[in-house]
Amino acid sequence: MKQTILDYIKNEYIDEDEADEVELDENTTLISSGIVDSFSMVSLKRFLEKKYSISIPDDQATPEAFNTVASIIQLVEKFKK
Amino acid sequence: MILGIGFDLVDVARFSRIAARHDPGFLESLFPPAEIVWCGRRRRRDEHLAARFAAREAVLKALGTGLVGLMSWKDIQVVPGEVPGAARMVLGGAVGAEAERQGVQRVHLALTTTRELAAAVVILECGAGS
Repeated sequence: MKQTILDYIKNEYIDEDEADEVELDENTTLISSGIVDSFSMVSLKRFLEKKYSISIPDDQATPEAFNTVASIIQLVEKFKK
Repeated sequence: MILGIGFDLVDVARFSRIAARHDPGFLESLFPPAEIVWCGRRRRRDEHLAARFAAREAVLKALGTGLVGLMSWKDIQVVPGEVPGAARMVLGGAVGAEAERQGVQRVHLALTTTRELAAAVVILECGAGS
């Protein structure tokens, strides 16, 4: 799951000309660093819901929950059956 | 009296690229059908949708809450204003209830777009002495 989410973020939200400059791992801050903006967060939520067949309530999709891949994995695990 | 102010800026190309990767249900989860139809009738649909997303972010920033509790993106509607080119915001559901709780009496909205960027500013006004 970690690599799937990392790959998605890298391919969707990091421009090609920035890819070499951005070190992305499960503890990289996504929102506070600007990698994921507000619309990207909504998009990422949709991706996670479709990929893992879960439903994440809007009020759980907080900047804190989406700020690192580690916290995103925790969120997904919370809603996976 | 000004209760809160919010501003948001959206990169239109990024918005388009991301939206295109998802099924139509993605945009439908954010915008009511009337807004999608209205924007679809414009020359550059995604520019207008991006502005409407920025408006949603802006009002949540103005309220100081983000999407919390029972709030939903669809509690926020952007509808045409009385003047051509103008827009106004209608708040319902849990977002409307929060605005009412905070004493919001009027919501001021301004949108602007270019091919590259879409922006929205929201000012929440309450009565003097509230």
